[in-house]
Amino acid sequence: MAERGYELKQVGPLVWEIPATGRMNVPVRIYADSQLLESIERDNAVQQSINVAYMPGIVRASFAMPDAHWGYGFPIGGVAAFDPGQDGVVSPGGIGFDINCGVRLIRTDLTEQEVRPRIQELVNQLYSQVPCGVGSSKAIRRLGEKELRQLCVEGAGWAVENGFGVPDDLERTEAHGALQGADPDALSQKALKRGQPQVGTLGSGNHFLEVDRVAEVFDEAAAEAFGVARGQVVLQVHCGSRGFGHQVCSDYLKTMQNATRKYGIDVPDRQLACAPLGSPEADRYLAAMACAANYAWANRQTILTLAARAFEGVFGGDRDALGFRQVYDVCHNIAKFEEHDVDGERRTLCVHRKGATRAFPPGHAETPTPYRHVGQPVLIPGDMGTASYLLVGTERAMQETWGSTCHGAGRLMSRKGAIRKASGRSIKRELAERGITVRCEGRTTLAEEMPEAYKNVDAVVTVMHEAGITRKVARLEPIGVVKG
Amino acid sequence: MEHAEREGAGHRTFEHTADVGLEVWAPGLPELFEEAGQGFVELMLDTGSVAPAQRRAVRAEGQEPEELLVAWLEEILFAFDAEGFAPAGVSVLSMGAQSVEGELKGEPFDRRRHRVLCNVKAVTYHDLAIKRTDDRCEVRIVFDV
Repeated sequence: MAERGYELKQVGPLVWEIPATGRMNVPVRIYADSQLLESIERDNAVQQSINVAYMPGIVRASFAMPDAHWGYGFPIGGVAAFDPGQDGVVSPGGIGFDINCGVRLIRTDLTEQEVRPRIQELVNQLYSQVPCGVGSSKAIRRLGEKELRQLCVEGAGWAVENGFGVPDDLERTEAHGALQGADPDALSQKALKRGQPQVGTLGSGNHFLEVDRVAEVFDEAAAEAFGVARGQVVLQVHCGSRGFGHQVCSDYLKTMQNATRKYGIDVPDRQLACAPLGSPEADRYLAAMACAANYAWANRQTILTLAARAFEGVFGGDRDALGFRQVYDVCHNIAKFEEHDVDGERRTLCVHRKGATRAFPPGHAETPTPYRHVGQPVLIPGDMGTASYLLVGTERAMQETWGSTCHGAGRLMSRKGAIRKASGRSIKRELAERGITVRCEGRTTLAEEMPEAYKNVDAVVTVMHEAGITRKVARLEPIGVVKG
Repeated sequence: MEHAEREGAGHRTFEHTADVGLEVWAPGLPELFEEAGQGFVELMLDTGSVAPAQRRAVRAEGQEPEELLVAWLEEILFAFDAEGFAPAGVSVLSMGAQSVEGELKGEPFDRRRHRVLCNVKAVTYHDLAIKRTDDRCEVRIVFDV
């Protein structure tokens, strides 16, 4: 790349840095091997990381994970922490429209041999239990406004109280499935309206339900703690806060356009609009964002129970008899106040993770008790034809990246580009030939989401493994997929 | 795909890694809003499968033209995604400096008959700037899909 508009230097075997120049407050730091670096540079994600480095109160660096790709405002695969004591800001564009988009992993005692012969039946059951596709709704009864407000405060706990799941699920969920500070009064009527019919629905696009086999175990001790072993069947749920979260983000992007002018903040892109932490605009957004995060956790908690019914319907018995137990639920689109060491000083920072996953180490108070000796499970969904990963957080992640790592394979191709590439092919048949049974609602989703549209997930997690940020625990390979 | 049915106005889609964009041009701001609205519904839906049998009023406000444009498109998205109204046509009826009023023609969404082309989550402000000269307005809008 001869025409780079910036200086890029290698500062570690898998770490690259763009020094802070001009209006940048901090450097950009990219985790990648040379091939992934090339794809990150090709689609302008680097310029977006540079733009984030301009923002007030950003601390240490604007980070890009190896799966980083072009977003709007912030890149997807970006991590940035802002210090409230140094004019730091919160920016809805640094979290994304799908607030608390995340992944839930459920282990079972079922083996691949038991599940394969009945995979079509299981996929059909999952498909009928969990509504998916554009505007999907009515998985459970439509909620009244009062009940939705309660759900926004209680998160996954609301679902458990209403018969969707067990308290142990909450123990194994980031933040116990409920962020503090959620205030339904910060929500618009539109958001409330969109939220009412969609609890327990998957939505569309890259969201999925996936039945996987544990193909490989890399770390026996961590795998044992997580209840995962080779040959076993597990279930992944990937979705977020649906139209409710999108509406919250849209509402507050508008608020932040005004706030950016009011507080005289100069940002290079309107999508980076933000407000100083502690301002009324920031407080209101964070209160609404927490509602959407909690909605997403209630949603995945409800889906877990609907999916359990599908497993029970096919294999008999109940959750306990099937060994159907949650491993973890972690989000990859969120902002949170967290304590971190900054130059030897303990500080509370507002950490934005947009397409990045929290990866806390062993011994951390927020690492769930059953896993405290090994570290927090990290769930990395891959494309539907290759693999997904179960990883574990490390102390090094705390020291370098605010306890954060990658979130998935990361897109390589535009959706239309993928559709063109898939023209004349049957993606469904190609996947079937690889032993993967797929059921899909949308007409173009399979082509848009085909494996070639994504970066190599093995390479992405290997970068973070070798950089010491997250360690590989297990590789999960799909055998059945439901997509919106 | 390029459309130029209204006099001096048109739109075409462009691509980004994770998102979809719409490039729109028109002689003036009201025409630009109308064309952007029309381009947006054609991006989301095969409008040929939708009968323009019912009318639905749309109103949006915004301090600057760009904010007004996002608010306008968000109203159209809300009608479709949240209220289940599938639009086939979009018109602007009146426009002020900070508000726009218009109308959608369409019918209630029916997933058996109506073909969804693209699942748009939201309208973004990404690099959004309306370029204006004496006889032409143009803009590029990125959608989160």
